Amino acid sequence: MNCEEFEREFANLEHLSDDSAALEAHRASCRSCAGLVSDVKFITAEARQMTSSSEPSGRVWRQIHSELQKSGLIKEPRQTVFAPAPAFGWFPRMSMGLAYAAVFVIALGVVYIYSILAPRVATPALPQPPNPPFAQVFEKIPPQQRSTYVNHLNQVDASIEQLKAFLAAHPEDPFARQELFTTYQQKSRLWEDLVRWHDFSESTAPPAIPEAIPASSQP
Amino acid sequence: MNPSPEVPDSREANAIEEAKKGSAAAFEYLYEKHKRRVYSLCLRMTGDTAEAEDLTQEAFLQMFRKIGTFRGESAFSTWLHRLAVNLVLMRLRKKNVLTSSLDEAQGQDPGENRVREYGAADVVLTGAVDRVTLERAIEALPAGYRTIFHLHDVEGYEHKEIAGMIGCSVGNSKSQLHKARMKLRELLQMRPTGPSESEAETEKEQK
Ligand SMILES: [Zn+2]
Repeated sequence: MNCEEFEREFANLEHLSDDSAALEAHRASCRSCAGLVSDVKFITAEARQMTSSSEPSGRVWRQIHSELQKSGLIKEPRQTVFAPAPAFGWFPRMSMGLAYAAVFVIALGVVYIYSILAPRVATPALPQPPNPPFAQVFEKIPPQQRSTYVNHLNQVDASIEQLKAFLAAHPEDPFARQELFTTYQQKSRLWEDLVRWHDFSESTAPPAIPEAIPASSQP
Repeated sequence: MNPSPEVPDSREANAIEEAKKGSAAAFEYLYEKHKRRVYSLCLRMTGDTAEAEDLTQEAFLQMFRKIGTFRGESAFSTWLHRLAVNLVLMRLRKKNVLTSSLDEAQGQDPGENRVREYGAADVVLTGAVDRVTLERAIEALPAGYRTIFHLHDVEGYEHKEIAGMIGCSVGNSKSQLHKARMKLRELLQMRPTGPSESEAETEKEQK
């Protein structure tokens, strides 16, 4: 068997482990073909272990959710952003004592870690929320679709108000600041979706998403 | 396909029943649990994030719309996975990426495009090739090769299944896979080999 025959037969294998005696004999005497086989084995072994590290943006779920709502597959109102729907609807069915104990222990851990890590510095001013002209665009879309957007916007705005009030009382809380930033992003994305899915010739450009909450070291 | 053994998941079964009744949280649980696998499948096969998101959305929507008919004989993940693969293949077919690259390949002599010179010992790949480098190399494969490599070597489909899904012969699927692997090997052997070499290049340029 020469190298060309080897490669043709190797390419025709159903599984790499189906190696024939002839293939093995050639491999034993040919470094080039042995290298080819070992590389293919290496590549396929790595490929099978490739995990899914990347994930789709939050937009995908929002679209799915809104489609499910439109088609009536979801039969309950969406929960507010600030109090997100528990990811596990069956969580309350756990022994409640156990659930509360777990939450308490986690909360203690978070408080402890935060007490170690939190920098003791001045709190920066809050950025302003994005404020695109929703009302103008709402006028131009069909009423059935409008109500979904209006509800969503009201929920996001309510969350922003809640978080601002909370931050006024607890200005150094980094979790609430992050949450506020997230709701700003949600509002910006809501606007982007609105503009993207409804082609308005005279519509304004989507607002810029705030870069980030200023680092706590800023005055 | 040789899926990893499915452990019966009572929480998932519970979520499916809740989703049938219209629970948003249950739909969200199912989405959260499977989104990465579906998205990465779509991303690796299309090589385009926007398209991958679009296909992920479509796969979940189709799945959720049919959830009322799901009886649990087959695993939810297998069903979803198959659906996603079909959607991706449909999309690639529509864009003619798949058929054109397979047609080209069909007319080719299997010895063409050979990157290997017989007799010469190649640089053998080692554990130094990390996952990210491999992912990039897979992304750089022509669409037809990437599809077959992904289906066979990453997802574990058999050639017979792939031939059925794509509409080619088993022999064609095998030869495409071999070419994909050879192309990958070539790409991985050409990978940049660390800072020392690039530093030397810069020095040379400066002189
Ligand atoms: Zn040889």
